[in-house]
Amino acid sequence: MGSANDVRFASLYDRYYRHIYAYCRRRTTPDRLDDAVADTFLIAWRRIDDVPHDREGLLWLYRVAYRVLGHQWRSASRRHKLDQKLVSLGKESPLPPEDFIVIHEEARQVLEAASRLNAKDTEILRLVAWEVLAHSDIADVLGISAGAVKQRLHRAKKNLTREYNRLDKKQAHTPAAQKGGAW
Amino acid sequence: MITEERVMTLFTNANPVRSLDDLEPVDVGAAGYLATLEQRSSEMTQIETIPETKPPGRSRGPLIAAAVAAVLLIATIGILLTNRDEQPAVAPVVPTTSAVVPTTIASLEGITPEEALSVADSYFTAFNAGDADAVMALFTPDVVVADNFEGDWDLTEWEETLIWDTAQRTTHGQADCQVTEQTSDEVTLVCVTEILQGVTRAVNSSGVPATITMVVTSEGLSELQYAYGSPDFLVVGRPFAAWMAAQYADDPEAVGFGNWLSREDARQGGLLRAQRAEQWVAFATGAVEQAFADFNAGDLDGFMSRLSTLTVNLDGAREDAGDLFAAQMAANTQYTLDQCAPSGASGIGMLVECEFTTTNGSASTAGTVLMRVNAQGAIASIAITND
Repeated sequence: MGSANDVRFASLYDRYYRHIYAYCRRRTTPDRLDDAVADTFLIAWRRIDDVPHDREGLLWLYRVAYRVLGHQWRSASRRHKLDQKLVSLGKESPLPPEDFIVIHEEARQVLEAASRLNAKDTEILRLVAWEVLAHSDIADVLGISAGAVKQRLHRAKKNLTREYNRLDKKQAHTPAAQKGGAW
Repeated sequence: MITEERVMTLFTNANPVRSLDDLEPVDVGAAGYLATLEQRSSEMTQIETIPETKPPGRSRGPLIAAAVAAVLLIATIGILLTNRDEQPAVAPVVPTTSAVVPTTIASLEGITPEEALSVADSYFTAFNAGDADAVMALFTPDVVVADNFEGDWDLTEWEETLIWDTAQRTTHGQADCQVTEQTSDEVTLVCVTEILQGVTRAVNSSGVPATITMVVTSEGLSELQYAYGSPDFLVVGRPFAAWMAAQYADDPEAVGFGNWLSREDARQGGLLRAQRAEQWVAFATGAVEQAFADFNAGDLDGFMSRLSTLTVNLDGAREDAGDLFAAQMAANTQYTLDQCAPSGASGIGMLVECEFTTTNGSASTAGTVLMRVNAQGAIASIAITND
């Protein structure tokens, strides 16, 4: 790689390392996190001539990271992933313990609901809610049309709500709840 | 019951990394990363050209290099970490990819074009038999599946789609496969075929032409790419969706593409879709038969209320529908329909074609009537061809 490309890569890396780290942190387990980030930038380094300039470069990196993580996901069960994600939920919350318990439980439940959706729909929800990307940007990352993003997002929200409410109903019928709850 | 808006708020708040400022990533900086990569590049080259092994395939070379680089990079990061005072935000790194490299290279075996063609044949046979497990068993663990609608597929989603398709008896027609590329460890095939989905089949529409590229290794199918040659799925799918929305308001999402939460959801969706497709055919052909029953009963108003068009194509000429059928009714014409069957779908509805015989006193004529039936059961266009 020539020095111009080195400079270009360094700029890309310094500008977006945290974004990609956060993207992977939100989606994979701690023991796989560094693999995913390193692989993403390795591909960027190898293909630096293909990386678009400006903010398009970040979308390109998201696209690469999405595929890198896809390879990881294929070898992991959904349940395992969920468990690992839950471990990573706010370890040092500033909230009072009572509030934290409620929020943690809601977070656990919504993530479990999300884990029941199909993978691409869940990814669209994450890109909207966590990466705060526009539909056109999500289309770019996932390689689908903006119309498909809109359609999938609509469906994903509806399915997420349905699954969340299913879990609610299921909890309401657990023996503990029938007896008035664990408290 | 919680609202959609509230659930999205919860989901947003469940973000494990709410702000980039909260991160304490193990960042060696661009300079450190580059130094590591460049130091490793000569070693990567050596590994990729080990003389005792067969050369890695086009997709494996970068993967192997990536694996090696990732492991070495991780090791470097680990060393750097020991010199940093701040607590890392992540658990200690485990070099999970290290064992892959020698194993992968040592396991490379050749594959002949005949063996690759046999794998392709097994794929189509399993798919057409509705055996999703047998299809999945043909794939390598790192298979890449893609098409020109969705791009790269998540394998779990693709498997659900496969189950949805096989449940509605989607099949491939006779596939013509040719070897287009061959290396020591993989063979690339291009297969030309057509695909008949459940709804397509139900309405007797022609299949969707597809070109399927397969890369086959000794371990199985490592790449599968569908290029659909026309949007015929949509041509048939849209009027079907309109009918579903009109007749089974709660069902469209249950039978639609991609609305699954599990393999069983997908299977049930496919089964229901096939069932609804048959009901769609019965609905449209029934609407046609009812219209002509009204005609034969002398109920001109009833018959005309079943048409949503004002004109008839009669042997290629446009006629006023009211005038034509009123004149026929006045002459005591009776229609006997025979062999009504769908002949495709497009635009707003299903095409239904019937052979007919008309009797008018002692005179008799035969011909074919082609109608387009919309989602509400109205005949939106009608063309009569006398023999």
